[in-house]
Amino acid sequence: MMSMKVMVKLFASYRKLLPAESVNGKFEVELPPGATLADLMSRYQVPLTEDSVFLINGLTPAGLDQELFDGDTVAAFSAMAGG
Amino acid sequence: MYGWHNKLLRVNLTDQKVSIEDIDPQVSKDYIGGRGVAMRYLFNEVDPQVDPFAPENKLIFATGPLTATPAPTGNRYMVITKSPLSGALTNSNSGGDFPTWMKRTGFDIFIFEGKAEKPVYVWVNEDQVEIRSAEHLWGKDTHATTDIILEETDPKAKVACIGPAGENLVLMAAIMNDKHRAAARSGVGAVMGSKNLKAVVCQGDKNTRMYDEAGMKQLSVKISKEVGADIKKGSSLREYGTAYVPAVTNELGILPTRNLQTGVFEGVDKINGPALRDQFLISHKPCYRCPIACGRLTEVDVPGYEGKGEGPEYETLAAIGSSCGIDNLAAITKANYYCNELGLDTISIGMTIACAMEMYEKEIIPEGDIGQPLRFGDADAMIAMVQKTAYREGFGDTLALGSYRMAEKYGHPELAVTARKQEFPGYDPRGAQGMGLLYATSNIGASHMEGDLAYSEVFGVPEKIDPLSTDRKPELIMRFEDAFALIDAAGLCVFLSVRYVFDKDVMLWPTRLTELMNLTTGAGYTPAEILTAAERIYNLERIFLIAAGSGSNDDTLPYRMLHEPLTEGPAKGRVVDLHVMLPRFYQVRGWDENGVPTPEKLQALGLA
Repeated sequence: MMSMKVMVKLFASYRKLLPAESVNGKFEVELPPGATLADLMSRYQVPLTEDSVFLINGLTPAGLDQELFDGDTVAAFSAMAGG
Repeated sequence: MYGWHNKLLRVNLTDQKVSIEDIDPQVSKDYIGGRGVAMRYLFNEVDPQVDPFAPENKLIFATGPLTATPAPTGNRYMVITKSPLSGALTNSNSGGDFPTWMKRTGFDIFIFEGKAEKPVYVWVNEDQVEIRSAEHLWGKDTHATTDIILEETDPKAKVACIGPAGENLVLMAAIMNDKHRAAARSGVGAVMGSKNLKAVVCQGDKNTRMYDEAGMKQLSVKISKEVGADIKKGSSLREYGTAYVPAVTNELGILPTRNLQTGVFEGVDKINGPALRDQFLISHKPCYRCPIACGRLTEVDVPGYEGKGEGPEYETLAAIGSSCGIDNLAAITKANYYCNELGLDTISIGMTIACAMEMYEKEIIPEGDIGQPLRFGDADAMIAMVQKTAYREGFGDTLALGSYRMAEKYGHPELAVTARKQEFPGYDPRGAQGMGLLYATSNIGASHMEGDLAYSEVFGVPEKIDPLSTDRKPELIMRFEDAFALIDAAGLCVFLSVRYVFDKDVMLWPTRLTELMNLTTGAGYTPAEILTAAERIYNLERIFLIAAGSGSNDDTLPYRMLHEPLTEGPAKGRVVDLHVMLPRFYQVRGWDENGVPTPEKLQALGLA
């Protein structure tokens, strides 16, 4: 089965969840086809609650069960007052 | 009196006379405090058509009923006046320590009117108020000014002052307090300079009396504990300050880059939170009584850029950094220190320089006028322009006008990214539609602080909404504008308020804020009443604006925002769909199709 490659970026306080191989706050993962946002995020202990903000290719996902595709960039950060 | 002192200090700088007045408790109740009560006085006493630099304009400093209470972040003050940059209002806001010290003088509000013949400063030591000569301070930067004044008055007092920029009537001059905090936007520092008022110093022990002191302390501790628990889980603001934001806005494709020619900056990793932390951070720094501590104490030891101070904040990283195409964090931080010392708004100076860079590269501004090249990415040129602007030296005299008047002077006003001639903050609205509506309708011109829907469109607080949709944005912007007016009137900081004193729903119902207000003042508000008070403040400001000549004719955005789609990033192909949102915004506000509050709306608010 063809796996897919997804880029993951964890910002600010979520940087502590980055795996060792990440560079500049991002890393690439291989996922099985059909993997969802929730599947990916739970792998790295990113809270799947409203405490987190997720972006897929910079866009607002429809839901945690949104399917990911080869070449996607997923970003996550903690919901927190801004600047 | 609880919450409010209901006392006002009036300083007539022309006559060098000081008077103490009572504030009608009903006015405090109806307008909450801070921004609201200040606006009531400005409206009553100042002709909306006044020249902002005329002695007839008034400069008002205002605290709220929650300032100097145990409420976490109960430490904010507002500067209200007519802006020389926009011709609209100002709602300049600052933290640090000064706001609490100001409230402890026993006055809620200071009104500075007229113009002193020679430079002065005002020393407010509770009821003992002196107007002292500041001739020996004129020309000095804000840090030297603060140090000298504290020696002459009381080392434990707190100072708000202008630097050379305010003295030179630079339209983006700020009022600095506690050396590193700024009431920055809209040229409030220039109004202060036009009155020959160099500084205001405050000391006192008149703490805010609370109606239910035990209850207030209990609720304050509860809120602080909630903040503490969240910080333990991991707080981006505590760890990185607002400097965590460039990566986020860049991911959304809305980080202002090269005068908003795009929203994606290739140098973002060099100007982001981790870069600041790794290279220049000494420690986080809280304002007085704040559990969040988003402030940054920093020091730069890179040769040529050495300095120490606070910041930079996100807005500075966007305006002086990415919008100028600059990724040299040492230079951006040094420029930030200069802005604090000279008393300049980093947003407006950064964006004005960015506009000049674009016009230079397009050969609209000849190099001879500037005296040197001024290309995007040139950090040293940017620093030179910051300094020249404060002193109106050479091309700095043109930059001092702000980007709109500068661009207009060179025949291309459409290249200034402003609303009501005030420079945009760090969110490109083509990728955050609600912010576009906000910039166009805010009573102070382009500002994120007048109803920062970026909280929801970008940061997910209280809940995440789609920044690319125009759905519900009119209703949400109205509610956010009113909620932020409420926070500004009460005397709290938005970083705490949106998340902890409003219900966790994007419609921002003020349940806990009402509780804090009632425990402090005993006024017995309902949440609906307090929101109506906010709407009253907002509409009073709008009426003033319309009378000043800035109504629906100015509810618009630059050509670039309306007609030049973003060419890259998640918002590629988008402009701001203002025509979709604005008519509905007028409707939800209860205004007619010309953006004028209807008689029914005014009557309902008691403004008829």
